[in-house]
Order: sequence, then C-alpha cells, then structure tokens
Amino acid sequence: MISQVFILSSKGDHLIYKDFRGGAGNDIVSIFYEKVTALTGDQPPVVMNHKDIYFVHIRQGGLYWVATTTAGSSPFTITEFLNRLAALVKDYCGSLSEKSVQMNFALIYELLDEIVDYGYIQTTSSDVLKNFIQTEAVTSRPFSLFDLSNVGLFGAETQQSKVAPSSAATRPIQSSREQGGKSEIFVDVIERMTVVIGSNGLLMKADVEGEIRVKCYMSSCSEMRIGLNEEFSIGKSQLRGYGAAVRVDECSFHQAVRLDEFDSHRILRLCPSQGEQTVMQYQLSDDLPSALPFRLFPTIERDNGGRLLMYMKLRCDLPPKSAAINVCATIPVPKGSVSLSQELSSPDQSAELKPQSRAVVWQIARFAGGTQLSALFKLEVPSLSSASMLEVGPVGLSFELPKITATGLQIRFLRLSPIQPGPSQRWVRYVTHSDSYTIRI
Amino acid sequence: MAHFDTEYQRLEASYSDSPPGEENLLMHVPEGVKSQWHHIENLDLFFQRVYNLHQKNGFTCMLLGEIFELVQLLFVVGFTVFLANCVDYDVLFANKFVNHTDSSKVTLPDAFLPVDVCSARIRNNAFVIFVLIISGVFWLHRLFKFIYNVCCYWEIRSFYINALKMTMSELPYATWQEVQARIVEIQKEHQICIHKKELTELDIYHRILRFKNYMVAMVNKSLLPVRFRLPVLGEYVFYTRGLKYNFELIFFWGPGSLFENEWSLKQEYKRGGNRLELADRLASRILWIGIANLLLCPVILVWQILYAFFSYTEVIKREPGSLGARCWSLYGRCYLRHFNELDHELMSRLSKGYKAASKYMNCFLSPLLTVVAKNVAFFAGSLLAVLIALTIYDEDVLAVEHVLSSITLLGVCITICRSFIPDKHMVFCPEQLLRVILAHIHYMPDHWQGNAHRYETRDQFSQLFQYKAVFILEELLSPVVTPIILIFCLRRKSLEIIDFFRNFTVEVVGVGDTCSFAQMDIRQHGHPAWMSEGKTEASIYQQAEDGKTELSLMHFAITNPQWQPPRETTHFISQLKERVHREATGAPSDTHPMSLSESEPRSLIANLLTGPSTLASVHFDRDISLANHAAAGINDGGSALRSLSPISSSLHLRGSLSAAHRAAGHTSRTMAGSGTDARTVSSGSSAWEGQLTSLVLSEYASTEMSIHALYMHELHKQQSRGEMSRHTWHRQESDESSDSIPDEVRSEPIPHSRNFPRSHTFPTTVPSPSAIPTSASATSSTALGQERPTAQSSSQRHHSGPTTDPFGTGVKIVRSARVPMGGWAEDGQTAQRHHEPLPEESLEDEMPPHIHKVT
Repeated sequence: MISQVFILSSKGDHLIYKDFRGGAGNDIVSIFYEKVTALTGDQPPVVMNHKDIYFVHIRQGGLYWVATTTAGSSPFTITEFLNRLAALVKDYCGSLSEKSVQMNFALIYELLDEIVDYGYIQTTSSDVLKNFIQTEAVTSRPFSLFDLSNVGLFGAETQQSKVAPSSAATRPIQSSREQGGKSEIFVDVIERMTVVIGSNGLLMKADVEGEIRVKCYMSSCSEMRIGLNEEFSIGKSQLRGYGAAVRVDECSFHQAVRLDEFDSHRILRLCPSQGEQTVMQYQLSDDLPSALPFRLFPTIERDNGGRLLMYMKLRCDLPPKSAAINVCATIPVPKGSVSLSQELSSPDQSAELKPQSRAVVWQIARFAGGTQLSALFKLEVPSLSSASMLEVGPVGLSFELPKITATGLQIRFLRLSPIQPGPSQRWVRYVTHSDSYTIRI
Repeated sequence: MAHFDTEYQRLEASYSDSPPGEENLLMHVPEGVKSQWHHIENLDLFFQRVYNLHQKNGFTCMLLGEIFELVQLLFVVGFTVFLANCVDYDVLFANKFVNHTDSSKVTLPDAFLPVDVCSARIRNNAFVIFVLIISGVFWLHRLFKFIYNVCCYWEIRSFYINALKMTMSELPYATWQEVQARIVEIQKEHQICIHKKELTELDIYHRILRFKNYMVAMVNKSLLPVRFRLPVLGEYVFYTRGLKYNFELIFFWGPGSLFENEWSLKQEYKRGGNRLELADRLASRILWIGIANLLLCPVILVWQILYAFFSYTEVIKREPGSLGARCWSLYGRCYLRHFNELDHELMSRLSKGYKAASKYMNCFLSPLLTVVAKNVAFFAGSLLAVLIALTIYDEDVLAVEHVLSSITLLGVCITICRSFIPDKHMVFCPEQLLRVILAHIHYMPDHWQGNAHRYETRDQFSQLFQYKAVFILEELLSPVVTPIILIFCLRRKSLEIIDFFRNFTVEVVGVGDTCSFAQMDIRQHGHPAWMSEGKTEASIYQQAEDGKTELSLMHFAITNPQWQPPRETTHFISQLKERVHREATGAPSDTHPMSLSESEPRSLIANLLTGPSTLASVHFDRDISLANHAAAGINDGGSALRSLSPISSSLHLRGSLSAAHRAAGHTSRTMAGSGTDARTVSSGSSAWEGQLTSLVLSEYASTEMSIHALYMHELHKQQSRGEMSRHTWHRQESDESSDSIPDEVRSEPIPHSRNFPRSHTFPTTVPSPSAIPTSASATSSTALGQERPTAQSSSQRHHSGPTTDPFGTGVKIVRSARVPMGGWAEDGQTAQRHHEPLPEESLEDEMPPHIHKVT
C-alpha cells in the first residue's frame, strides 16, 4: 500500500507529487530530501524511515523516484513498482530526464491515476494502459540535420536509411500514430564488460553481462521471433567446436518469452507489448572469445626536477574496421599534484588534471581499432616521494564499442507475424561498454 | 539507463519477410538448381563412400575386387569341404593301390571320391553341415551387402562423373586432395551439406574419420584395455581386428550403442546426470556382447583358421622369409595415427618408415641365436648341398621317399636361420635409425630417445611393429581372447568410457557430434610440454598425450594447405612454421613477412627441392640450407634427411626442375642478392607451378611434416631437459627477431673458439661411424680448427660428385661451422648473412659461403 509517490530532481525540486491516501504532512518531501542529502556516500539506503513513514526510493535518469508507505508492506514490491513506473514514464515520454518529466507532468499524473488507486497498485502493463491514456507526450526534439537528410531525395536509398541515430529509439510510444504510422522495432544488444588486468599485463578477471532489449513501437503485433546466432551455446558442456561459437555461461529470459524453438534453432518467441522490455539477460565470465579491446603499457618514472613522468601507450586491439568511441582513461595521481603538462600523440585527444578527484582524465573521442595512442604526462608534484609513486594507478577505462559484442552474439533475424501491412522498420544496435575496466600499474 | 552514441543499423528485411505459412520451412532449397546432390542426409556415409571409391581406384576396380572376394569366399569354403571329405588320401599317398587297365600312372581324378559317396559323407557329418550353413548365411549376407554396395557406389560414381567432373579412368591418378578440393568447390553450387554454406576440408575429414578419431583418442588416453601385464611375457599389447570390431560394435554402431546414428551421440550420454546408470547399462551390454562372442567363438575361430590358412600358406611357401617380415601392428596404427589422418596418408607414412623400422629391429639380434643359427645353417646347408648335388647327378634321387620334402624343409630351415644372422655390412646405429623412423611415424614415447640401444626400447617398439607371424597368431587367438577382454577388462572401464564420450564430444555445426580432440584445438587439448605452453587451457585429463594435438594440427595444416584454421590455431601454426623455417634457412624472416606468410607451405619444400637439384650445379648455399633442415630437427640429421627419399629418388623431377630453379635462383640473386629462400620461392614458384602437380606437392608435404615432427620432438626434448637447452633455446625464446645476433659474434674469428663448445653440442648422440665414412677425418680436422679450408674443399669434391652420400658430409661441415655459436640456429643465419655480400662468388667457385667467411 502506497501512501504517496513523488519524483524529485537531483536538486530537490518537486516535479511530481501525488498523495493517494491523504493525511500526510506537506513537509514529507523535504524531510526525504534532507535525509537523502544528509548521508555521505553515493548510495543512500533504498528504504529509510521517519517516524512511522517509510520512504522507498530509486534513482533513475538523475531523478529520485520515491514512494512512501506505512509499515507492513513489502519493500520489494514497492521498489519493483517504482522501477516499472520509471520504465513506463520512459516509454510514454520517450526519455527520462528532468526536462521530459517537467514537460509531461500531465501525462505522468494521468499514468499514476491509472496505475495506483487509493494506494493499491492496479496495473503496470502498457498493453492495458494504452487504452486509457489519452494525453500525448510532449517532446522537445532538437532540430537536427540528420532528419533532413533522411528524407531521401527521389526515393534514393541513402546511407542514412540504413542507420538511425541512437536518439531514434527515445521517442514516446503514444505519438507513433500520427507520425505517419511509423512502426518500428529497436533491438539493443548491450554488453557491459568488467575487466581487471594485472600489472604484469595478465588478465585477472573478465566478465561480460549482456542483455537484449526490445523497444517496440508497433501497435498490433501478435508475435515476434528473434533469431540469435545458431552457434549460440550456454554453459561449457555445449561447446560446439570451431566456428564462431558464441558461448555464455548463463542466461535468463523475460517471462513472456517462449523458448520452444530456442533449443533447436536459437529462436526467441515473444509477444511484445509496446515500450521497452529486456528480453534476455546473460553473462559470461573469464572466457571471452575475443581479445580484450584495450591494452595499456605504462611507464612511470621520476624526473630529476621532482616531476612525475607518466608515459602511457594505449593500444586498441579491436579489428581495424571498428573503433571505440568516448574512450576515457582515468589515471589516479598522487596527492598534491599541482599542474599537468601533456604531450598527446594526436590532436583529437584531450587530457586534464582533476585535482578534486586526484586523477588525470585522458579523453579520446574516437579510437580506431588496431591503432595505438600514446601520451606523456608530466605532473608537478611538490612533495614527491617514493611512497607517493605508489598512489599512481590503477587506471580505469571507460569506453563504448559500437557494433561490437564481446560475446559475439548477433541477431540473425527478427520476424513479425502476422506480417505488418505498412513498411515496418527493424533496427538493431550492438554496443559493448565498460562497466569497469581496470588496469593495474 | 546509460546513453549510447551508437547508431542503429537496419536489420535486413529480405530474410525475415517470409509469409507466415512458410516460415517453418527453415531449409529452403531453391528450385532452380536441378541437382540431385543437394541435401544429402547421411553425409558421413556419403563422404566415406566417395573416399573409398577413390581409394579403390574407381568403380570397375572396386566391383571386380568385391566380386572376386565373394568368389574367394565360396572357394575357400567349398575347397575346404572338398579337401576334407571328397579326397581319398590313401590313393594320394599311394598307400592304396589303384587298378588301372590302361596305365599304371595315378591321376588326380583317381584320388577323388565319387559324388554320391562324397555327398553322403558330408550329409552324415553334422559339423560340416554346421560349417556350411554358417558360411552360407555369411556368404548370403555378403552378397546382399555387395548388391547394396554396388547400388550405392553406382550413385557415387555418377557423383564423381556428373558433379565432380572426373571420369573413372582418371580417378586412380587423382590425389585425394584434388577430389576434396572439388568437393569443397561444388558445395557452393550443389549444397551437399545444408547446414553450412561452405564446407571445409576439416569437415570432410571429420565426417570420414569420425569414429576413427574417437578410437585414436581413446588409445591416446589409454582408455581401451589393450595393454596387459602378463606373468611371463611382461607387458603385452593385444589388439586385433576382432577386438577392434567389437569395440566399434559396442561404441559406435551396434544395437544400443552410444551413437544414435552416424553423426550424433545419444542425448542421454551428453548429460552428466545419470552417468552411473548409463555406465551400468553399458557394462551389461558389454557383458552380453562378450557372451555372444564366447558363444560364437567356435565359428569365428574356424573362420579365422581357414582364412589365415588360405591367405598365408601360399605366401609362406613362396617366400618363407616373409613370415619373419614385420608389419605395423593394429595397435601401432592406432597409436601412430594423427587425428584426422586418412587411411592412405597413414599408410604411406608408415610404409616410408617401414624400411628403417625393420632395419632398427634387425639391429637387435641376439648374439646367442646368431651363433646357433650360423651353425644350424651350416649343417643344414651342407646336407642340402649334398642332396642337391646328388639330385643333379641323378634325378632318381628325388624319387626316394622324403627326399624332396627334406630338401624343402632344409631350405626353409636355412632361410629361417639366415634371418637370424646379421648382415655382415650392417652397423649398429639405433639412435639414428630411430630418428629416421621418427621422421616418418611422428610419435614416440619420450624415454626412447637416447635409449634406442636398449632392449626395452626395442621391445616397446615391437609392440608397434610386430612380426607378421605374431600378428597372424594373435588374429587366430583373438576369438578366444576377445570375449575375455570384453567381459573382464572393458566392462570395468564402462564408467570411464561414458565419461570420455561425454567430456570429449563436441557438436560442430554442419558436422554433428565429433571427438573434441579431432578439433585439434590446442587451447583445449594442447599439452604444455609440446609448444603450446601458455596457449593451452587444458587440464591433464584433457591434454592429448605425446603432443598428439600439436602434431596432428601440423600434419593437417600441411597436408591441407587450403584449410583455414581458426585464429589461435593459425597463430600457433605460423609461429611454429616460422621458427622451423627461420632456423632452417637462416633467412631473416621479419624482413620478408609477406613472402613468408604467403609461400610458407612451399618454402620449405622449395628448399628441399633446391637442395639436390643444386647439387649438380654449384649453389652451395642451398645445400647448407638443406643441411640446416636436418640440423633443425636433429643432431645427426644427415641420415634422417637422406631417408626422406623423395628428393634423392625423384631424379626425373629434379631434371625438369633444376633448370627452372636455376633461373629462379639467378633472378633472386640479381634482384636482391640476399639468397633468402623465401624470396627464391616467391619468384620461382611461378616458373615451376605448372610442373608441380598437387601430387608432387603432397609428397613434399610429407617431407615437410617430417621436418616439423622432428623439430617438435627435438624442442620437446630440449624443454624436458632443462639444462641442455640453456645456450640455444633461451636465446631463441627471448629475442624474437633474428637480427639480434650481435655483430661481434659474427665477426668473431671462428677457428679461435672452435674446440670449446663441442662438448655441449655433441652429447651422447654422436653419429656412429657409418654416417661419416669419408668425412670423419674432415670433421675432426676442422673441429681442431686447422687446415679447415682445405679439408672443406676436399669434402666439397664429394659434393660435386653425383653421389647420394654427400648429405652426411654436408651436415658435418655445417655442424663444425656452427659449433662456435653454441647453437645451430644462429649459425645457419650467420652463414647466410656472410653470404649476402658475396652472392656472385658462390656461383663461380665451388666454395660454400661459410668458407668465405673464414678466409
């Protein structure tokens, strides 16, 4: 049973406030915000209490999603409810941000009215909800040249018709009707890498967690079949020898997925409802089929003048045709580092010293596979001792690898039945990004 | 959630937009191609038949062979029954007198019993009836099989003719590699295998050799009970055809076997859950099959005896020595077989090793027996001589009773004795012989090396290479022993067998379930002691013994140069090849990465080709590179290389090639003057591409494989004996580039330090005198570092002569030259290096390059 639901921005502004049962004081929101901000550390407890009121909150999209309840209700239910609420808001508003919530407050209130009645959760299914929600979402799409070039003069098949920007999937599901009946399906294959490389260059830990997410903008779609690689295998026992075997240690599926064709043909069948769903989650530990994307060769020494010299050579081991984007290496430096002078091997990189986090942040916008970049950082550290040399490292890398999956998982096909009358568009996106990619020095 | 910049790609619509009704038809064969060869269901059988037809040289040969086999069967049974029942032996032995009116001579028909008597005798003898019925059933079974086979092979024949575009008449002259290449080619248009777009060579091998790979792996992991410790005989290997048949029956195709059909293991065996229950079931099956064997034992025994009698008596009579001749035992074939090695490849390999192997075995004649045999031969010989002399004087001597038979017996006796008397000119050099054998058979337990002269080694080798007589005897014993082995030994291993099949079966797309060892994946089955250190992740249970994974991989990659292995494997192969190549040729490989990688499979071949062809001409740098090949793998390599005989024997080839090669050599000389062989090949390959058919290439592929095998064994030995490796291998491993040889080493005056490391590089395996009949003195004198140029040039004279011997001397020279380096590899390079600035001279005068270096 939920007493109140409210959404706060990260600064504590009240974006949405709904009291279902009445009787609570008005200052309850500020009490919550004080409690959250009073705690140090970046992860305040999910459930907190104030007298006999219990706050359950999650953070998504930079916002606090809070529900209050009295004793005796399940905190997990409420957490799950909040997650679902955030997902619904994302589906209906297109994206989750302070701005979109502000612009669509009416829609969100309408949603809350349907979802919760007198503190009791009714439904969170978008299939049910779409019959009741009338409000159109308001989106603020920045004008972009991309949309113009997508027009396709004389019906020519331009390059743009083969790719869609990543923002294409962030639009509200409701508005699809008058956007020319654009029925689209977006499939995301997103993998997160957790890698630890020892100081001797040996791989100490390499995990990949991945998921397949489907975002469906179809109004009437009875069944969808997603074909994965035929060589896809689960667990060690099913190794299929040579060939591009795609192996994961374990995987789990959304409850709506039917697996009757999975064993034989690696086909997932599901009836997607509108909006975003995570169809499948999988993970793979320690046995990556491909080489690690990055290798770092650091050399760290002391200058005569008491400066710290860090020579970093970063090699990208991706195939030459692909590239990593938004690569960012964070190199912790000794306390009291004053200034940084840098020599970077190419102009599209940048590096800066962040004194408050005591780290040098080296950013590379685009890093082609098979190439190598190097950087020489000279740090002015007034009180440089041999002990402070030990404070250097480990280096953390964050990056995004477009069109690459670390496990090699691919979507073979995506079939809809019955066949959509209009031109239906199916899009797929493969991304591998770093959860934490640590290289010890 | 996180925000990504990655763009979406369009999923191509063409594939996914099939109408709803048709979408269940996953395999849709286009109607346009009216080929009858698409979608062959049982590809295993199909490829096996294609292979068999090729091995049996075409349809007609096979048909005739099978017909004769049927007739032979009929004949064996009929003739035996006839001999047993319808011949009056009294007449034949003249114990009973035959009354003839016209002449006194006894004719053969006189000895035959009349038909009615004969049939009555047969009818009364229950045993004969029993044998007849059994063989009749057997024969009918064979007949039906024959008819079925003819139908099947007719289809294969039309496959050859229509799809592969090969006529039956040219089939005997086409290599299997050619046939295979065509199969791979036509897969694109005919879609023989529907699960894959393209077939690889490995797929075809996997299908043909699916079960054999399992057997090889099981023998390799010592799973099959074929080794026994007997009270008197010591360790003994018993593995006969009958036993093999039973193993296959139990595991692969018999009723209730582990395999569901030709290509897939039964599902329940793939899961570990009820292994105990499955093991129980297997054990009881083995028990039943053992009992069935026991019951059928008399039938099989009779059959074996008859078969052996008729197939071997004729041979024994013709040449009694042939029983003493040896053959590779069935166990040996299994032990020595690579994964993914076809029958003909194995056979040719073993046949090449046969001579050396029998020589090796003949080294070990017991001196006691020799003395006895000599004397027995003497007495028997004198008796025989007298008898023969008497016969010559008057042939009536033959009519005396038993004179003819005693002459025959004495002859046999002498022949047998002679086989125990060693050849007068034979020299005891087991270590070298074992090397030569190793070059062909590729496998050998570690402890043999250096112990070649020991009797234990010989005994163990005889397990692989047994007397034919022993082989026949074992075959005869097999019906009795097989059930015992099945019931008492194999049954106990049922759990291990179940585990083996579960752990080592992988499902390969387009091939089905296959033995994971046969994937030759060094990552999964490599042995760290065999060059896959650091690459392998296999536990001890998963490692193939004796470096089988690595050697098989090399073998397969060399015999199938078109095959594209997976990435890590390619890395392994190229690394090994490069190492062998680098140490063999001394060519700075990193300067020609392209030419090396492209012509790698051929470059070694080319070296071997150029070796002898330039013997006639004067390119001695080639000779050195050739000799270095030997040195790459072996310490006493001359004899081993000499045994890789296609080179020395293919004189005609040499004649045709040498011209082209000389031209190639000239071009490479003029254009770079580097003398690197890789360069030579890349420029020269076009010149002789047309002349070298794939047959020739495959012949040289076996030579190349021999070198690799020797190299790997050598490396393995070096690794296992740490201190030996100190001065050569660490260096090799630490610096990858061959440029790292310091200049001062090169410019170091070589005679100066010649004596010093000799003790290191000449360990116990000093070549025996036989290998160095002429150059021994040359070697010793050069080793002392005096008058080296003259000694060398004197041995050069030997080189320029058209003898086959100079390999040995060539090696000697090279070794003496490389001694100062403390390792052979580097010196080969220095020799080449020094040759570089002086390319022309080696064309003109007969000095090998390293002589230039000295003078």
